[in-house]
Amino acid sequence: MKRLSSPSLRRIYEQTAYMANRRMRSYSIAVIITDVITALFILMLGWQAPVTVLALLPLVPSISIYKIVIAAQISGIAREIKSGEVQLYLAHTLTRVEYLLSTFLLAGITPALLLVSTCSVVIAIVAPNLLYTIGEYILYIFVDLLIFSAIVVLVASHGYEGTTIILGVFLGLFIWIATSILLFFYTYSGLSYTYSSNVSPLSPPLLYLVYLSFSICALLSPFTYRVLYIAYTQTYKPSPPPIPPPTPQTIMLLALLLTIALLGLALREIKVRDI
Amino acid sequence: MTMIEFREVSKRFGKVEALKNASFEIPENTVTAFLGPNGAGKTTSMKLIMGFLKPSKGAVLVWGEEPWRNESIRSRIGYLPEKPVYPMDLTVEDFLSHLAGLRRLGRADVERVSRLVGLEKLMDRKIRSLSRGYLQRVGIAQSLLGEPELLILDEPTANLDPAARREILDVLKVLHKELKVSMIISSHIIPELQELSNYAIFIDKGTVLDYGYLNDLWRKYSVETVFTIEATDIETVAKQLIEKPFVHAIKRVSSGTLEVSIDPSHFKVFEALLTEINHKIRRYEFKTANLGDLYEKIVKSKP
Repeated sequence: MKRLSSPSLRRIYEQTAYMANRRMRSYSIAVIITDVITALFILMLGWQAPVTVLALLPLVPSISIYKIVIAAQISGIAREIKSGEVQLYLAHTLTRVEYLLSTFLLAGITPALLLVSTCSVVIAIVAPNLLYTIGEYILYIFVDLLIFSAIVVLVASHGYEGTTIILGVFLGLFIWIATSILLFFYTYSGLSYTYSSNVSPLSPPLLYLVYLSFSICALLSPFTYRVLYIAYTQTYKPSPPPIPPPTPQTIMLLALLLTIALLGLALREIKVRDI
Repeated sequence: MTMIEFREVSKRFGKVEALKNASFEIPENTVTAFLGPNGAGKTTSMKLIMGFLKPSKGAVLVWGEEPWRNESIRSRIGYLPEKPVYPMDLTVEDFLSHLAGLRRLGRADVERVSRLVGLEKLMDRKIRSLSRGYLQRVGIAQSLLGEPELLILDEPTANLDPAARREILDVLKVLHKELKVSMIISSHIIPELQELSNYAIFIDKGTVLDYGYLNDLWRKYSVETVFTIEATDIETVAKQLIEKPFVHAIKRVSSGTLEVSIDPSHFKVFEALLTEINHKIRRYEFKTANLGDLYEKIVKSKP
């Protein structure tokens, strides 16, 4: 009888490959749709630009599509826990931690790699002059998808299948809109100091609230924030806000730390929950 | 040696207490019948053994370790859940191969278990196309991967028609006979476990009523024990046996066969007597008393 060592990379790989085979169709569709969107947007809007918002924005809908696919895939954890399917895998030496990690690997990291690699190929074909400059942003896309995956994994590990999908769709579709609006308000918040408080609605307590809100939104979508930050730095501001917004690098670092923390919480939950 | 031990285990799901201070032991090399009505706590107990649930109170020990903490214990156990949920989009072979892969087993092991349960001709079929009986075989096949020391089968014949139920029981009998594997089988259909088990745990409303070797339980609850004896000279054998005070009745079932009912507390004495007169006996068989009667007596004896 073979004994089990924990966690085993081999078992994680076996489980990930098994799940990937079953979900290949949805990934293939996502890859095709997002690549077509990216190519069309770049051809129409950004092919002549150096690195600009116009060149990067086409990636936002692609990321949204991927996020919805990721949420749908990760909600499978909740479904498999509820239905008892997970028992069949756990009964065959797979540990709870390995199960969660393999799902995260499949549904979080694999799509991130897929998006980054296919987008790079598409950009290299339709606008090769962008490839070098866009390279920096690819890391942001990767972290963006990672933190998103960690959030939905945490919710799914509690067994909430529907909530996982709803939250995933909400974050996927609306987080960049929320970040844009909040950053816009913040950009012009400094006006209240220059002129009278009647000019801008943002007085200090509200100002801090907006700062906190867009920082949270930025943490949840570092790539969107990176793109918006370009816009922020290139915008004329008669009076800059009293506290400068965090740099994208800070946000990315914090997002990575938050991803690790969320994943840790999800692992803790899956280890103690009844299956 | 004790294989499984429950020490005052309670398991609560919200307001429902599925198991209440349950204590019992299961020794090695037994086929244990886990008996009780629906909702008695059988599935909860099995999941506790597998480490899928954490006891709210008390300790569950499997080979001396807590399965909840030590997940490696599961590598020694084969498990068939009560309502297994299979990946319906896969073929039987792909599904079993994946589970075998997790255990570092190869194609030969998949073929072996599929032959054992009679699935070898259906390996390329999608799981969704299988009948209930064959689905249950898939469940048993997966539980046998890796030659487990213990098989835990939760209601293996539930929702099956009588023919499929018979087939599954036959498969289990063969497995026990050929592989000598310990089993814990739960069922609320008592007679079907009688053919297989030599140990039993009786449970109702989350409380363990009694447990032990069936031979001991027959005696303890004075359930009549029946032997079938094939003798060369049944007249003489019958005369010899009827003189004994612990023999309750002798019935001639065919020209060379007797059925003898005895007081269960004299089980061993009776066996010694049969050994003494073995020159007149072709063979004898301990035909167990009715497990249903035993269950009723145990339930009635508890407040």
